[in-house]
Amino acid sequence: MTESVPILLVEDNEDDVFFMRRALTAASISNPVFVAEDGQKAIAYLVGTASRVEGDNCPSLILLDLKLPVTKGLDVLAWLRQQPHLRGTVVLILTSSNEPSDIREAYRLGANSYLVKPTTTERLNELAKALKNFWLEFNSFAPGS
Amino acid sequence: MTGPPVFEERLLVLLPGRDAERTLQILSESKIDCVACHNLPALCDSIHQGAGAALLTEEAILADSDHCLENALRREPPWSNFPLIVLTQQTSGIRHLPASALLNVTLVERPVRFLTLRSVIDAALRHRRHQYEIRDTLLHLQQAQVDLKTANRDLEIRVDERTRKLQETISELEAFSYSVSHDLRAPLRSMQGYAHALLEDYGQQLDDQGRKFLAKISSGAARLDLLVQDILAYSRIAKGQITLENVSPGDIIRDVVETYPQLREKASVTIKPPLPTVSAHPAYLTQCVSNLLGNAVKFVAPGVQPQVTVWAEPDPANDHVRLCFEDNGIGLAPQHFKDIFEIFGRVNAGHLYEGTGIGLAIVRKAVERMGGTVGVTSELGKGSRFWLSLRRAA
Amino acid sequence: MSATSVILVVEDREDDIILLRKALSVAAVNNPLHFVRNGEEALAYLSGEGKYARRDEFPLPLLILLDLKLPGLSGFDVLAWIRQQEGIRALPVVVLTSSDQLSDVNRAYELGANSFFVKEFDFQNFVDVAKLLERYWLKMVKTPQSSRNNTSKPTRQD
Repeated sequence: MTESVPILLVEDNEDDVFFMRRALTAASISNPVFVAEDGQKAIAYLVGTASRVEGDNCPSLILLDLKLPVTKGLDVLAWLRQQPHLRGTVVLILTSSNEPSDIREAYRLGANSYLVKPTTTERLNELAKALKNFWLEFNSFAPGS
Repeated sequence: MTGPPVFEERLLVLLPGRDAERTLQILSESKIDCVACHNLPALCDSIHQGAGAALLTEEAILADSDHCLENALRREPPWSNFPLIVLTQQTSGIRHLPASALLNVTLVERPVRFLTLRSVIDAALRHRRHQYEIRDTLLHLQQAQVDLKTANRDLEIRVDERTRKLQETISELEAFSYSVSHDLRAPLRSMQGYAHALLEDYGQQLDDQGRKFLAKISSGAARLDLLVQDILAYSRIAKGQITLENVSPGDIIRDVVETYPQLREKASVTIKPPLPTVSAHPAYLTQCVSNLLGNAVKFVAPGVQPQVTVWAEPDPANDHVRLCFEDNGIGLAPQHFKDIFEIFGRVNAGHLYEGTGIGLAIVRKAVERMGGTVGVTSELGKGSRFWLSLRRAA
Repeated sequence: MSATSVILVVEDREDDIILLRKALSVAAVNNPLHFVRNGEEALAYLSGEGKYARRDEFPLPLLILLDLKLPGLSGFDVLAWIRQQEGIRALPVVVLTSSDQLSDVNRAYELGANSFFVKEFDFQNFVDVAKLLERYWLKMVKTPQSSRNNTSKPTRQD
């Protein structure tokens, strides 16, 4: 189940997209990665998944940046936690903000965990490995959610 | 309404027939302002309009079956005690006058000697004038109360305004931190990331020099990132909200050592108990300890294992506690004891030891905000003793 | 992250408690652990009732490890309750349970679990889980409680 589970990356900075894709590959994560450059596009993508066959192409892992154009990351999070088919989806906040208020609010709105974007490639690779170990291997997913 | 009535030094006179005319004439000639009233109700009206005193006969009062006079006097304000000068017959007694505490009565027996009457009238008018003065004092007091209420309300508005401005400042600070964090660090990630990617993918095609250049880009970005973080820490500590609580320095130090493996592995940190509880802000104190211990580990001569000893002693200057951090590092010369706590106040060659130059400025700011002081004593080559002086826990 | 931050473990089985303690220590997790044996006790701890009113002795936890199968109130009830309390709904809850029924996984996530692990029977599995918890939840992830003790990331250590 884990290899075909798509990862949705919601990120507007194209450099960060490049680095994350690279780190995921370096960690041998072969899941397809979809990128949405802003909140609206992410929502449109996720809305689209509701109509597809259950369990098919629906991301079980979403990496969500907070500072996005058009719609704020926290608003996307709030929205998706209200969609019945997305309530169990694992959402990891991945952002440059280390502000306690953002951290608290993200958990309050139902993020599964909160990660601060590392500033070095080494740390980013570590993070990708941890994502693989923790979320894609050991952690049990809500299937088809 | 234009204002309280002013004192009318006027005498109301209610006397029968010819007495009235003659009395009025004599009184006028003596420069007493007087006016005749035709009957008791008229006199009562005049009292209400403002007068100094009234001169009337006992018979007039006894004939007042409607209690007109009594009622008029009851209607007077609390400060008023209207003087009545009553001419009595020799044979009557005051027991015939209605007993009333309201009546401020001076009895003058007939036949009246003018001088007696005159002095009684003067006394009554003086008395009346005093009553007006009391009234004015009371009015001033009332006004003062109103002013006080207004001042209080204005003060509350100002406090609200200040609080609102403070919230604004805090929000601005948070917004500033937030923007700095996001907007400055994104390009740093790019710089570092692409230098690294270049090295990984095209490193083979470069010579040593080329690879070195890339390494410099990476390390420059890393250094700038540390600087940004330190600036953020400084601005948060300088302007952030602070709440003091009872903190155990021992716990904080153990936490810091736990959190940073470098400290655990490279250095030996010894705590000499007891470390008394202090009044501090946990996050700020953590930052201070982290910076002090980090410095102790960093600024050692090559090949020397960093050792730090921490203990507490009373501060000679006041009732504070001095937390001392003594290390075996490179030390500093006395002329630098002060500037080492300034922003960018580095006292050694930048290329020898890594650092942003803000670490100790952060420590000083944090301690000052907690109501304490910092200092250092040291000898070049022989280590340093940094101390934080903080209030004892309540 | 503060090493004095407590991890609250809600687990009733004696064997699992022992295994978990050992595994966490092997994984170098030095945080103080507080064990409660049932849902009611967990609610009391989190609401600060009775003896738990002393927050300096019983602080709000950094992380909650929650077993689903509990006597009395179930793990689901505890989870649902936590997510409804304004003051603590942001606390991360990692569900550790021996149940591997898929419906449990679904329901746990829908009720707001941050992550879900299935306990296998051998000790090595416990150690693996503990190591992952340490590496991910205690070192990498930012949680509301961990951010309380830090004004900024470490500036000197790498």
